[in-house]
Amino acid sequence: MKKYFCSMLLTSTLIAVFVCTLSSDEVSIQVKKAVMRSKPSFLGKKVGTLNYATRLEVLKEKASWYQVKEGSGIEGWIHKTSTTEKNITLKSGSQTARVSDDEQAIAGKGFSEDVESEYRKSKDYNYIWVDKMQNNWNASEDNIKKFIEEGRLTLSDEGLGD
Amino acid sequence: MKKKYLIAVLALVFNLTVACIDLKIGGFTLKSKDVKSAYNIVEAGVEAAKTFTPSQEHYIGRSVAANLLAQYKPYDKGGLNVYLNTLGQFLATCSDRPETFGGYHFLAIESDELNAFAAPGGFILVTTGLIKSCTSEDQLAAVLAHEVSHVCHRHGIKSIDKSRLTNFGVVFMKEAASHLGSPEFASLVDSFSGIIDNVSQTLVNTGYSRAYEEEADISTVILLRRTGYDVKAAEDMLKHLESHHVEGGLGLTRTHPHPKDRLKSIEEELSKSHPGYVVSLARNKRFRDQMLKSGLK
Repeated sequence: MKKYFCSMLLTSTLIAVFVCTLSSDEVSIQVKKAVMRSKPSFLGKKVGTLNYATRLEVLKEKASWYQVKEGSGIEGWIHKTSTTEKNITLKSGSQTARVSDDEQAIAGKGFSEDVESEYRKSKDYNYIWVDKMQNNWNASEDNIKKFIEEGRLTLSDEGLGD
Repeated sequence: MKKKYLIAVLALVFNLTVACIDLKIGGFTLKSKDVKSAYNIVEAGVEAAKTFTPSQEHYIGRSVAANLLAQYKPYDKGGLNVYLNTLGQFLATCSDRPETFGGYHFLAIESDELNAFAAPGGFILVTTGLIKSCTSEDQLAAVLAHEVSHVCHRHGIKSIDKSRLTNFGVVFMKEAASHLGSPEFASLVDSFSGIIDNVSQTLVNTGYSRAYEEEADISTVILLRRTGYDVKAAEDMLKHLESHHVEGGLGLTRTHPHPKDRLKSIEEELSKSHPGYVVSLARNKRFRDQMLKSGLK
């Protein structure tokens, strides 16, 4: 019994050590679209746009940002909150990232349009204005920069996230 | 990457717990039962936060906002929503969670109530009554920063009844395991419906817990400081709410702790230095012009 108990302890300790040493150097995009930038700041120039589920290689991390490399070789910085360590793609780093079956189920039949449209049938809710919210009054990066300058405000990355 | 270390620590704690070992560190003794209790709390928190993906949070937020917009009339005069979105999206960019699945979106709603709602994922509604009560852009920034903070901390999602999480979990497991048939799909829609009702109820009637409001109030001051707005604007708004506080009233009075308590909770954060703050006449002018154009002054 004591032998069994000791081996259980040893195994779970080894798992802890293994997890620590495991090189977790890939992330997936978990937002609809993420912008890849030339430096770790929202003021950085856009170098690309990444779609949901795109798998990326992490080259470096700095505060709340990852320097990443996309499948086609493009490198840039993305904010950590747009990523997850969870693997939601089958083809690592592929430009046409294929979503796993589970993710497809979630995206296609989970909380997506399918559930929403079924739910909407029994409710008299105002989705027209929710769509307007999403599409009509979004501020462009240039407008936000102008807004900051005119109002003598600061776009600071200091203290963000970690 | 921090997750690796968390898993390692949890595994170590698990070992101590299973082994019923009391760990002695320096002069302290960490008792096995205390470790077990702390482990349970951490586990529950981790589970709640992980139940929904950002994508699911987005779709919950859409339906909660659609529900609220069936009760409140949208207000869109003189470019007010362009102004709200420029200000709000700037604040969100500087927050601890600048990226949600579908981004942050702001809309004015017509009501004399002093009220605002942050639906999960970043759908934020503010009443014209509350906008009118602001006397500067800094005060309006304080209002929006408070709502952005609720989204950042995922308070809407974290406030969902645990029983509904369990129901969702059962359906979700089925969904992940196989393609959904009609009964499972219907069950998922039922579960979704329950979650929408629950979050809407929290936003309109019961409000968040005192701890969540305190967390959002402190984050508001931090966000104002980070962006160069006057941190005192948060204090001004709470004092304004205090002067309009009526026991048993509607809007924020019903869903938030007493403004006196909220003022106390931000005292320490307010006392910190604010080197980035610059008074701007242009900022005040654009706010006044916008209010006039939108028929709110």
